[in-house]
Amino acid sequence: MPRPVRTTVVHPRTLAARNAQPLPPSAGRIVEDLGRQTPLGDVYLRSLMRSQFRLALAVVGTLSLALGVLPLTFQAFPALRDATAAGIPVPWILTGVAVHPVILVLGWVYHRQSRKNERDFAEAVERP
Amino acid sequence: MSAAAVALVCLATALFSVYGLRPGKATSDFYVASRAVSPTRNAYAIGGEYLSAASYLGIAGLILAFGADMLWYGVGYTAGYLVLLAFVAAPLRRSGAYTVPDFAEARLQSRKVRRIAAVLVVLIGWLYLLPQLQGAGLTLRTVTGAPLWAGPLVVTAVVIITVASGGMRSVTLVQAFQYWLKLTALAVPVLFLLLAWRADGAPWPDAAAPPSFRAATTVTVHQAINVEVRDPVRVTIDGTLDTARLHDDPVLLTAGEHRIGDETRVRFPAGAHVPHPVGEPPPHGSDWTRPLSGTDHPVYATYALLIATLLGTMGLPHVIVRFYTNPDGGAARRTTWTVLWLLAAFYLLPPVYGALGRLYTPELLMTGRTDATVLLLPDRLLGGPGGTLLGMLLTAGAFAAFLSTASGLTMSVAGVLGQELERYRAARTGRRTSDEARGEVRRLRMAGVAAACVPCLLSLVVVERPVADVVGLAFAVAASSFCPLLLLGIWWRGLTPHGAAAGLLAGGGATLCTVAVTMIGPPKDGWAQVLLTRPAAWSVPLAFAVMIGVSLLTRRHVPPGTAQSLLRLHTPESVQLPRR
Repeated sequence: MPRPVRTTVVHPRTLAARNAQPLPPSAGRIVEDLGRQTPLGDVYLRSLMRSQFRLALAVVGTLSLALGVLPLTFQAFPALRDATAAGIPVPWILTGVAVHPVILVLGWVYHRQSRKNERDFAEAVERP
Repeated sequence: MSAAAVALVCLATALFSVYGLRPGKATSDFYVASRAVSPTRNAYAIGGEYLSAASYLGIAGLILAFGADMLWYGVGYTAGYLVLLAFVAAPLRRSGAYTVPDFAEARLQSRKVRRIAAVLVVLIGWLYLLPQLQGAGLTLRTVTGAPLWAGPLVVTAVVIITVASGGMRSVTLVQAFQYWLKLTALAVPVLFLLLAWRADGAPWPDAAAPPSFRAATTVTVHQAINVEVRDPVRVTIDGTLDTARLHDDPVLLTAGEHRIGDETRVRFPAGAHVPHPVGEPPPHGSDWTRPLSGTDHPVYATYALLIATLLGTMGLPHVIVRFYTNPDGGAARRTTWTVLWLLAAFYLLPPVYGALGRLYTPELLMTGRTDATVLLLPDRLLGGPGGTLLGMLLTAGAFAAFLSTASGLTMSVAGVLGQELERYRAARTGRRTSDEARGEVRRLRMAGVAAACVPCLLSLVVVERPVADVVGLAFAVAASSFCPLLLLGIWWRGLTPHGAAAGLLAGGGATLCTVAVTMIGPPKDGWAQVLLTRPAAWSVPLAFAVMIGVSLLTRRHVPPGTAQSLLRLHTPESVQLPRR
């Protein structure tokens, strides 16, 4: 029976990971590992995917919450359905106008944060 | 006059595409403008392509008929882009493929999944094209009195010229122009309409009563309808009522059911209640103003609509193909972010038309052609030469909407059809030469003609339904097939070709069946009707469950290149990966 190969699992952004000299098989930049798909490279890729996915989930989750709560609120508080502000029914203002800024803000947050995630990743893997 | 506006838009579109830029020579020009379009201009083009007849005419029409619940259409169409931005935009661009079938094959290394995806692209594309063409028919008849088949033929002809002449590169420029035309055409008249509404005392639909005519109105009925009259009313009729032929004769329209014949003109006095098609009473003012009270099972219907639009946007063939025209993943995100702004600005406008339409064009509830309200309002509310001019502007915008969406869809359907034909031919004759590459562009143009003609024929035979309704169904099909494929393909390592195929067939198949039943079958009531016309709330979970379940069962068949694909999808372009 072959001996199981020992793999070191470390968080890719910790100093330990970056300084771990003897990590096989590449002694150079992480990019090499990434390109050759060594286990270490895979750890980095997973970490990038996880951070991007969490961000996307947070943004879309907030969106779903913001939109999804409206019909339930109308259902739960019938008085709100008939309320008016400045002559315009409140539900029309909420669904016709007020949701759009929420969408735009979420889009901005995502755009900025995803770029930051990618910059961090690029910095980490290209560090010599 | 309005015919001139239509002719101008059609001519400008055709000329732009034939002479505007040098025509596409290489295959990549045809598909994606050789990926050399700046993010901002690409965003305008996406906006131009995405804002279809459903957005331009359909939302206002549905709001006129059903009220507050229909506001969710505009929200969903915009929010769908945020979901697309968050989960799909950059990785999809980095996948380097031209179409969804390309993505499926590259990611899963399976010809079978590719073929299923190709069939779905074609079906979704045609389902989406259908209401665009019918909308064109309705518009042309409303403004010029031309027969219903004229609109689809005009749009199809211009689309064939656009697509066959230059492919995606010229389409990009034309569509960027059409976004601004649509926004202007809807935004400028709104100011005048709102001023006129204020001058009229800023009325709001009467809470306790069904819709009524504010002024004496002549209604022209083109196709015979059975209507229900609530209160007896004196009208003047020129045409057929029940069995009698009348020539501008005054008649007492008694309460109850009546049949109004083809090409009949009915003049109603001011204040009369609008008769409605038998069995379809419009909601009273208060139910119309309130959310969750105009339709059956409104809470389910609202959530199903939100799911379909939020998740369906990423799966629309003409939306996806646009992402490959960005130079890189970051640009794809910048484009999407700009698109969000463009859409948010646009979707503020249709509700205004819908609400004004309820007050000033209530006769559309009787004829069922509520999609025409946007076109009729300026003349009804303003009148005079100003009203005519604004009406022309709105008609021009409507044609921009039909043409841009139809050419974008036709492009993507043609691309997929052409690729499949090409593969079929290559598989039979073996290797390709440079001579054949030239032949490929020709074959793509042929595919473009085929892709445009089939929906044109369909639009002439299929019964007309509200534009936004049919488009909602196309979103539901996309949400139940391509959304799981893209999300799981981009974010999950465990996806197998078997799982993807099963999920596409289950979700896409189920929703296409509901489409067939709603479009062809007899109308239904209650839950059956809601579940069939708003399938997304059950079909999307079904598709995800099947795709994940079958993938887990066939775990041994995870494609060997999965890690390599994911690396490519997620690594930013700034990182130079060494070659293996």
